[in-house]
Amino acid sequence: MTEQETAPAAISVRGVGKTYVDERRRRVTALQDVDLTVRPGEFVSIIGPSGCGKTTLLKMVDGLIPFDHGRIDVQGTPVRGPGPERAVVFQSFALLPWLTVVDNVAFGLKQRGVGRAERTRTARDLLARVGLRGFGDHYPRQLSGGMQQRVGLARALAVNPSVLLMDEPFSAIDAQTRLLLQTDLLRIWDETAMSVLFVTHAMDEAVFLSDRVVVMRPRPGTVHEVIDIDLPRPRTERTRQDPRFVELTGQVWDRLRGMIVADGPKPDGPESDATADGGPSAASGQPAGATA
Amino acid sequence: MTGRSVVRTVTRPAPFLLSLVLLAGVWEVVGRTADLITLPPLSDVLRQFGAMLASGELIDPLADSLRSLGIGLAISIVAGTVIGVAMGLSPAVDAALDIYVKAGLAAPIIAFVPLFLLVFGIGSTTRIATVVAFSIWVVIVNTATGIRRSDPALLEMARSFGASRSAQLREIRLVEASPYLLEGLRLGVARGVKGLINGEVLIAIVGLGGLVKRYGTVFSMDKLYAVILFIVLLALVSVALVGLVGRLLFRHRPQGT
Repeated sequence: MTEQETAPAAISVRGVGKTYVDERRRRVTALQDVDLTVRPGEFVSIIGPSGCGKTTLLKMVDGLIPFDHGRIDVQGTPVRGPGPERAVVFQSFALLPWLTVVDNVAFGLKQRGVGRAERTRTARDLLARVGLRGFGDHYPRQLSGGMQQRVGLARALAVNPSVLLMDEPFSAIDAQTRLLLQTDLLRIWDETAMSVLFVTHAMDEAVFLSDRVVVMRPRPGTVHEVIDIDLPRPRTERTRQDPRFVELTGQVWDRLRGMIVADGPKPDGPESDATADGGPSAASGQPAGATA
Repeated sequence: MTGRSVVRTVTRPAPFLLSLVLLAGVWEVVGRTADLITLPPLSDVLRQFGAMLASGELIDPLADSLRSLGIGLAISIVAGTVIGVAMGLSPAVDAALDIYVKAGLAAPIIAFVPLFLLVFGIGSTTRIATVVAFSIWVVIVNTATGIRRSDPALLEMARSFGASRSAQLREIRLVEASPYLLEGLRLGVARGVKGLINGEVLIAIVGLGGLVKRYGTVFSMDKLYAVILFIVLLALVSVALVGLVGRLLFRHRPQGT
């Protein structure tokens, strides 16, 4: 991706910090002095151990969580709350179980006042794009986890966002399905001009998908290092065998290992996300793959 | 007994029929042999039941009672849902009203009926007030609980996609709370029937409760039992009806996600 000097950054995070008081009335610094830029059309992943605040940061960019210090701009406009140019894919899918798949995909359009006929048509188009043609009249519980997250992706794409925010979207999905979702996500991203901010626990996933990987460290949550991923695009299954892929994954692991070893298996830090516990097991499965 | 379990009991006939036959048999035999004035044989009660049904003696008070029940329940459901939603959404409203709702749930509402009688007279207003006083609390509590139990992840999703607060209430919170709303409705109807008959017995001259009072005072036991039987049937049918309506409305609601 070449930097476009004239256009404002897709996402610009400057000196962002957040402190809160926990149940035992202690002040906890969730985030401190976070700087982060996502250029237009860029794919950036955030990776870091539990408690580094990566999910909190993503939700701040969406305007779901307020912050105390610094500023966040999306396409040059300060974030004050959720906006139509952003859409989120959630870790827990967050599908409405009482709505059909097509109505779930149309949810965002409905909130914008798009009429039923038009939003249903758009929703069906998007289902086809994420590989779920013919599943529109199913209910979410009738689909596998991977398919449910495809619905989550279609719902986000339906509002035609220029910034896509993905919060550990594949962490609850089995390893094989996850690989397919990664390649499908890149294909879809390639067809659009979207910028993506992608939070993950999985190092191979971050390297495979991204132009840059932002490594965060905990207590207080802040950016540790940004690693450029110079793997050629389009990336395919073969990319995973590329020696450079293995090398870069190893680099990410080097940065993370220190934090995890130093930290030990302590309970979760300030990450607001209740399901963040599901992450470490996924991450601990990674080292073997990274050093292979 | 909830509507669903009534329906299930009736549709799972063998054990239910057995217990019914046993009960009827014991009643009939004891009624015939013991010759107690307080326990006429079941056959006499059923004959009386048929006769009273045919003569309209049961139907006219029923229509009268049902009108009060319907109006009272409608008030409870509408007002109870509005108050419950407000309590579920706002901790301030909850703090302001919680104590009264708890008191209303725990208090013997029957003690208020003489007061209603003084204030509203012996017209249907007293009975409506009694039905409301019996049924509104469970509707409020269930609605508030259901609203409070909304999944924060779904609300966050809705907010992220630009749903207004009223859209979040209509499209997420109320739908998610529907099992609670339905349970509140079921309990509210059951309590409403209870309240109606209690009130009528106290008022003594109106509706089905009035019949209970009248026949009880003159020791017309077969007629008294016939009326009681009718009231129990009415209660079961109303509650089962709510359950049925609920399951038609929320057919697609899955168990969990």
